[in-house]
Amino acid sequence: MMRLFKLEIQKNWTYPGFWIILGMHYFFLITVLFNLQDLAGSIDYSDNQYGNIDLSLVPLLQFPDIWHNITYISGFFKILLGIYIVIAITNEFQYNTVRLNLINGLTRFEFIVSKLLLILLISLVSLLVVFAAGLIIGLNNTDTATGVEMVEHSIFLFGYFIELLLYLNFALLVGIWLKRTGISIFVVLVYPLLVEPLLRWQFPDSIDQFFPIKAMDQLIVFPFPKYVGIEVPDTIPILAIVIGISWIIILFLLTNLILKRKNL
Amino acid sequence: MSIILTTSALSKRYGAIKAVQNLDLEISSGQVYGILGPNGSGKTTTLGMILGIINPSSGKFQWFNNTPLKNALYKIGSIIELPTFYPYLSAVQNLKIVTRIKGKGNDNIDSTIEKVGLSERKNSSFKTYSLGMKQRLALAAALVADPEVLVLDEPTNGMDPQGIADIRNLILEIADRGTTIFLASHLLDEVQKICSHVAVLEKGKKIYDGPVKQILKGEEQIEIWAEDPVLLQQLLSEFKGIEDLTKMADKFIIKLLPGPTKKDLHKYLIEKGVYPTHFMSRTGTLESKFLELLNHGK
Repeated sequence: MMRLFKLEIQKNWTYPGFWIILGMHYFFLITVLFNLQDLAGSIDYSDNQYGNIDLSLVPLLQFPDIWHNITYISGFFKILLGIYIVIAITNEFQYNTVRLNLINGLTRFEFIVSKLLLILLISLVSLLVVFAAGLIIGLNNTDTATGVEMVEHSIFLFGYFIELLLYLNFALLVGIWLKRTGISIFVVLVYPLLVEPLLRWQFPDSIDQFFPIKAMDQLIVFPFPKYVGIEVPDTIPILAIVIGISWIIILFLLTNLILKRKNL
Repeated sequence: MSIILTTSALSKRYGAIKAVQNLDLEISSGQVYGILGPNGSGKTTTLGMILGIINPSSGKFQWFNNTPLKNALYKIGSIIELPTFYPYLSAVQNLKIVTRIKGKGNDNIDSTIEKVGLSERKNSSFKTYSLGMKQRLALAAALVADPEVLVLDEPTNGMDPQGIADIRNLILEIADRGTTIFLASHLLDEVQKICSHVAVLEKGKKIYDGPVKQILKGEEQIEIWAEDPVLLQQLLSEFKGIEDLTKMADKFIIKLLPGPTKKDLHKYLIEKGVYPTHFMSRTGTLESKFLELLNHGK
């Protein structure tokens, strides 16, 4: 396992795209999280279906609410991580280096596992960044916080981690399947926004919760309606976590199946 | 001599195209085994299958007495088609990827780069290399983990004459140390110079295999000329044991039947008072034999 991890680090460490794209991700993420209260004020919610709320007046960044709010916001930035995973995997096909790996004795399964380790690394670093940002911002915005209040609702951090793993495994599958960078990025962007919503539209709610992107979205639901008195669960349902983890496993197995059948 | 690789009824179809059909090969340790054939005859597909990057449609192959492919590949160094490396990494960094995959140390890297003549540029990124330099790095990658077997697909493709000579000498040097080599090429003279055994493929089928010496046996020709060509021709046609007398502008080309030797012929001519001004023996080329084999099927 360590061999695969080191191999993946060797491949990425001196690749300029690794630093540029991930650097952009963490820069935007941290900037937005630290300025969330001000940014929230600049959004006009007067036409919102939930009624008239001025989010700048709402304590978004106090413990324990902060975890739900910032993990929800952080989720939007994962698109950049998805794009990097697509590039990291499609590069192996564009440069044909997947052959170099296989003829020297890496199995197709090990090849996927090494990419999974890259996904785990990126997800863990992101989790740590959001956790650290949450602690700092929360402490600055909460007058008196007990230890219990600080970690209450931290299940949303776990939800964020699952969300990243699911999304990045989806990006990995698309990259392995299509092999070309441009079209893969297009699919990774368009499927969640357009294709799956159109598919889901044909199905009742009881079924559409099992779709992969829906499964990802329902881990951390839109938190702000609670500030106009609409009930929003302050935890993640076990079923959502089970569906999310199941999708990670299914995507991983599917990715292996696709690569196994390919002539490279 | 132990058996390194066997393939049995190995086949690959791409839709209606049969790229390789029922291929049976057996390669023993120490052999330099050439796989010959025109473009599109299935050489690269065959190498792709035995290296695990192309899934066979049917049939089997076996490395080192049924060693699992992954473990076998640790002991094999290979070049397949165009050199492929990470363009943003240097020669050294790319070779470190190879040794990492094979679970070997990095001790050999500098000496291997030296051996293929890439030392001066070992720290420049791969994307700045010429095709010849890329090919040299590919050979370095094949050699870096001290392989027991080398699998080389068109190893001199795209190289200049100096590069071709360098690589050939290196391959021969490696073969001398007892490393088994399996080489695909469409360059016949390359195979003739390097290989001990050869298999000829045509449209995915094996049409010949055996030692190179065997394939060239009986291919010896003699060029001969004298001051009086008319008399020479007459004497030659009277000599028992000659076939295929061909008259050229400045020489006759003959082939001896089994029996009489070159010495017998020489002696016979001198006894008859004809002193050849030109008497040269030449072996047939793989090229002529190869074309004969291919045309035979038509």
